[in-house]
Amino acid sequence: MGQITENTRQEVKDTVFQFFSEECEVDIQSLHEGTDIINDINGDSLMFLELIEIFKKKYNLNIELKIIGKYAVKHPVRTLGELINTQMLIIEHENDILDLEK
Amino acid sequence: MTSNAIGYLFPAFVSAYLGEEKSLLQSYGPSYDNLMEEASSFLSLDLRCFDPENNPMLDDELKTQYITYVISCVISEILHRDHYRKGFVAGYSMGIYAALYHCRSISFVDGLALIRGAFHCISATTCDKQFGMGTIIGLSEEETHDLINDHFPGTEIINTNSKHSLIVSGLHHEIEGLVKLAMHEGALNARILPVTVPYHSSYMAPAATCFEEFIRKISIKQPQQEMISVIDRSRISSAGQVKTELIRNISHTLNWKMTMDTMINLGVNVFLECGAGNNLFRTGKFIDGDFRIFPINKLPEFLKL
Repeated sequence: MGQITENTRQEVKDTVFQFFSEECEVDIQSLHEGTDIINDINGDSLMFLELIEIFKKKYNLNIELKIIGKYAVKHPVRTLGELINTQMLIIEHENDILDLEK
Repeated sequence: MTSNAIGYLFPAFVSAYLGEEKSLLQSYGPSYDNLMEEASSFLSLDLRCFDPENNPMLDDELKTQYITYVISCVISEILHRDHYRKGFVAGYSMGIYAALYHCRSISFVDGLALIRGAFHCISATTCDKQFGMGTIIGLSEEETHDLINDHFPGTEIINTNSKHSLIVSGLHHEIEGLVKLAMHEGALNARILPVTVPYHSSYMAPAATCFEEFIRKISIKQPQQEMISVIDRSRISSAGQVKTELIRNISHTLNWKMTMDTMINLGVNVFLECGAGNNLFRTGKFIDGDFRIFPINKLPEFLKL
């Protein structure tokens, strides 16, 4: 499991904001946790995939993509804040993330 | 800099433009307007009113193919004029025609004729059934193969863009079913593409035969730069190989990831996406290797290398 510290959420937030600022060519200052990834900044699933790979490397995560996909079907991510929260759960629970529903 | 080995990537038709293609290319001289004019005249079809933002013409599959081809050819012209450096060339799907133009293997209007000829052969083949294509992101090739083998025998994986990005072709109702099932099985995204033809699938075999007849009328020369086959990664350097590749391109599966891997292994460390949109740039992010890839809106930076 990834190591969660009190700074982890801020690290994840910084990474997510930096990533979407560069990918979508928008000012990072204009991003907030309520930003709609698709409708506001034209984000898409390839970006989501790229971000997952970044976090897998950064936190040395052991998680299958399809586990994330199955979780996302039941818990769709629309905003940057929701994405950050989901990413926190992925770091904390890795492949066990689906067990949270049991 | 002389240490860069270049790979020129020619994309297929796009589903979305960046929006700046026309203005950017017009800033490099008259090639854009000249080639749009020439294409419009040759095809008896006015493409000059194309505008990536206000009139993208994306609802017409054939027009989109022509426009994509013209834009790629304009970039080729700019490269030949301002930045001619030999490199390896690859054409993604129907990007093969612009790739061959860049290699000076076919003329500009023959490329348009090939697109039209292929489209007619393909349309004649697919008129009795409803076909389609889809993209699946997040499942591996093996996982997708298993879904197809178990539930959708009329569907084929026709391209592997990267480890977790696949394109499928087949009967439209099966593609619909596969897309739904893939999402249920954990794909991050799966959707139907806005095309009505199962490009690069075995359904296209009769179209390939038709196209083989058609290309006899086309003058094909030895390419001046080496092309990498997206079908089997062979190095295409003769007119005969070009003809074979053109015919196979209709009905054979592709593997873009392996094509990129091959060029990287040949030493390519800088790629330019010579076309509209930025699909190949984005796909390139999921391919391992020490390389840079420039989409069209980074053309000015590429030309400074």
